[in-house]
Amino acid sequence: MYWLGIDIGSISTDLVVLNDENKVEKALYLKTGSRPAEAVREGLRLLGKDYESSQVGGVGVTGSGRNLGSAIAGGDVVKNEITAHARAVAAMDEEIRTVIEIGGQDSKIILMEDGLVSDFAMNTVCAAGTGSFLDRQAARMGVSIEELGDMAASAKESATIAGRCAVFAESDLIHKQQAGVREDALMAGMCRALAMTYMSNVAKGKKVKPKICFQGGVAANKGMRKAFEELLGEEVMVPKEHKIMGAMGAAIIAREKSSGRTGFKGFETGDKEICLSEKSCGGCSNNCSVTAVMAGGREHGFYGDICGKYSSLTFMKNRID
Amino acid sequence: MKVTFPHFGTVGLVIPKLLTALHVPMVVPPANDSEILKKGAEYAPEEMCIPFKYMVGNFLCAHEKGADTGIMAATAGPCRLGEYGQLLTEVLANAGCGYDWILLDTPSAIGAKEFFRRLGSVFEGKAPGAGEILRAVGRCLLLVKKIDRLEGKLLKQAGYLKEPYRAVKLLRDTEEELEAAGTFEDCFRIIGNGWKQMERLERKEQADPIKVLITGEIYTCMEREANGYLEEKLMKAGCSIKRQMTLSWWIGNTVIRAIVPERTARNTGREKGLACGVGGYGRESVSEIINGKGFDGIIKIMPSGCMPEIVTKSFCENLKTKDDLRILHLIYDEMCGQAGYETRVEAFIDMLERRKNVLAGNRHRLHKHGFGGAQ
Repeated sequence: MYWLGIDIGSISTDLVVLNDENKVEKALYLKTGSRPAEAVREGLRLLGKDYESSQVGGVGVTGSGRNLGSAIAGGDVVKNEITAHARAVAAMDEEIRTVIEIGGQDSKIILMEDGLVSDFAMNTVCAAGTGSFLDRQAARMGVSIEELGDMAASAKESATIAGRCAVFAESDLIHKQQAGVREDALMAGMCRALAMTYMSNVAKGKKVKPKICFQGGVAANKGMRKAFEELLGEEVMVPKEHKIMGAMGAAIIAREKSSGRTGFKGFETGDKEICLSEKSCGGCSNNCSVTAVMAGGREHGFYGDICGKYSSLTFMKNRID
Repeated sequence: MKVTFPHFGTVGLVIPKLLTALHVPMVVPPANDSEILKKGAEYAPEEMCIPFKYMVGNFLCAHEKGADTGIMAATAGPCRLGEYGQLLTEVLANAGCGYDWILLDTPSAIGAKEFFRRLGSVFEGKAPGAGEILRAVGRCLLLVKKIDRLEGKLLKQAGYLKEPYRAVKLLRDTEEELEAAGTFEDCFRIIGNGWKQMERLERKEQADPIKVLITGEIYTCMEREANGYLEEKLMKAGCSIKRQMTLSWWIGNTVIRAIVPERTARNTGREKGLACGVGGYGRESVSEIINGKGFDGIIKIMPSGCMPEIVTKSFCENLKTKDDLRILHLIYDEMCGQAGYETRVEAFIDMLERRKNVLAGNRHRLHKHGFGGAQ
């Protein structure tokens, strides 16, 4: 049996196929862009080349687009990112006590004890401590995000950048550039500013204990890892699956909670044209706005309803077919 | 004269019945929603707390419906609620809504005589007899108690049901009926029906749901719109909930405070935690967190800019490590998207659930009393 995990984030959509030993068989890392439905479809199509639909024992979906993803792929488990990330970390190494997760538009800290979450926090109103800050600055300085990380990691010294606000940080950068500060020092400074903003905005006085695991898209950035190591005075490990931890966690949860049946709608969905439409239900005073997913011109799935009037309908229909 | 009042949890259900019984003409402002908040935020000072913005919205809408006299309980206390009366007067005057105000400050601040004079001005000199007033107030208090009891039971029962969604539906239906009801008698009958319907809901066998305590700032706790229907979300997720702040709790607390001095309450062990009052009900919410037994987790909510709860928040951060409690702080703001709250609440429940399952049999499950066991 294989277990499919899907993580639909703001920047990337990841799909993972796990085997029964929780080992990654195949992983896809796709850009979400502005069309999350397309990304999921494309992922399913690519996986369909290597696997049969009948081999899939269950599907777990996570990320900010989890409801959409579940409606398209037929998710058995729909979980939030924090739970999914924590589950993947626990499966990987029980000794990890702190998880630093920085994605495109959100950042989280998860504290663990014996493989169980004991506390967590997430950025609330500001994106200054997230990957999009680096992305933006890299674009402004005319380097790719990968180059930025490498340059920052190899820098001998780092400039001090006011990183509390992403816009003011940019002003500060421009000022430092005009003052003739070396480029690699600026980039190292930026990484440091992001790490410090993360510690004050997200971690907010939580006790960071080793082992520390750094994951999410930003973890690929060597400069960031170095900045965290300097700031915390501890070794920070970046697992090689850091980009796909969310999807892995979702797949593991799907495997654990499996009832022997799955709502998976098959890899064939990847070949169909998908469009979304919204309507309000009006069945009760909640008046939920329900989103219908149409695949190849046929009703495929629903989400957004609280009571399950629509979403369970398609799910049941699928099982009878 | 047409009287109106701001929404505040079950106040919107109870006060209209009281005013009707006393033959006072009134306008009930439309229920809180995002439109009301938007309206209020337009006129209220930006840095003022959320309850104020809702209230400004309430008064603006009531004015459109013909209200000209506003009743507002402004307690002249150490939190910003003490400024509400004055600020409302000015903000609404600026918005072009001329209101006559009946500001019910606490009797200790303005004297009992002045308090009753202000209260009596709603009758415009045509006051009904003392007997009639007492009777109506008595029934009003009874209704408050009954509503809170039914709601409390439903919140607690949700986790033990086969379909927790039914408890939410019953809660909503009952409230809708209560809103439409005209007299106290109708209300009592509706509540009686509510209990009967609750008995008929199908229970899960051997349920051991996650037990969550909701506490924090009183307005955000009681007004569902202001906390993004947090209770309903938790109920649907199959949690058994206790909400500390209710209207009857508030009335009881106010009466007890007037009779029992604070020092006595501290000595009984009920009040622990903060060494002095920090305004609002910060001290009471901390006391509930420390004294509340048998909860798997605590969700502490407050509106953005709430002074007392900012103080208790840092206090509770220490409790987390000291007493090994799981506390989730949620701060509500008119600028926040729903997705972030959902993720955090979901993750919090997942965390509690997994801890409970894995740590089954240890201390978390020993302190069960205080919140009832499986029925």
